[in-house]
Amino acid sequence: MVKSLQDINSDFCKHKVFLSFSGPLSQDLTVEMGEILKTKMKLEGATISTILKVFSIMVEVNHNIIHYSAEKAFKNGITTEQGKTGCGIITIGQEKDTYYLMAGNLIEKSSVLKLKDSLNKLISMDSQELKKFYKEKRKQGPDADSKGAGLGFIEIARKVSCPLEYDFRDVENDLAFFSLKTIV
Amino acid sequence: MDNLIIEATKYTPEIKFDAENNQLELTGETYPENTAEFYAPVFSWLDEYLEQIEDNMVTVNLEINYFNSSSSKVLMDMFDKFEETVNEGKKITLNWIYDKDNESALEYGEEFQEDLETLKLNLMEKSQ
Repeated sequence: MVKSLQDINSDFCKHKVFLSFSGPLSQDLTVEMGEILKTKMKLEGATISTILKVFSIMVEVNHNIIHYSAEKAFKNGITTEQGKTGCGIITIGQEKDTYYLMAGNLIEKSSVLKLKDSLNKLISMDSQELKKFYKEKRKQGPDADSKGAGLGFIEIARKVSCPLEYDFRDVENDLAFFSLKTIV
Repeated sequence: MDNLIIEATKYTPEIKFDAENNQLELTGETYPENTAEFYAPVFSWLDEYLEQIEDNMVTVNLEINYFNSSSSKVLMDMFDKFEETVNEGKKITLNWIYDKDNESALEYGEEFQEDLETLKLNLMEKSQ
């Protein structure tokens, strides 16, 4: 068991991951991860615009995990000093001359189809269509099952420089693992 | 009526709504995990305030470096509220102050501007 940690680490090194987190995410952690991400990217000479794009994708995926992950760190919605939490995994790394961010969490199998449809819809849109869709949704207000404005994935799709990639894998009983890859 | 003063945190903006001088300022970053909860008191203050401004000239200054997607919705709702108030014949000047080094801040301002019909959102470069 103890040896496998080094395997995980070398896997991360191979994929040039420089920031990762796995476990219960909270708003405070989101802020701290954001601070270190911005500092690191700034030191590497990334432009303000690139830094803000990666940072804002990180905020959106973290909030998605906090609100929608089917895996909760604390049973029965117990809130901690950190407020609401949800479990997931985030990795941020470099690939050639781009940054990438991957996020994963468990979701109910019953929501896979709907999520897949909305992601496919976003992937098929060009930047003008995404802008129009974003503004329509912003005027309209969220769907009933949304805990925010229902704009998170559109926001992410507007920030990436390559189409979103995703994967759904059945895990157990009613659960599936949802992975998202974004490139800036 | 009382002023509304909320200090900034790392993820919520400083709010200085001065009812006496009719000067409303919102400055900083906004990405709370529960946007509705944070902004509820802000909106109830605004409802009460806008009801009684009569023909006073109100100035709203927004200087927001970053907002997440659910805060974007909140800002749109706030602008819609200002627009309704202006449509009733009241006077509001709405300024979107952006840092020229942050190109998306100007773009975001323009996108809000496009979605307002009668209320003008003034895009102003922040003086250094």
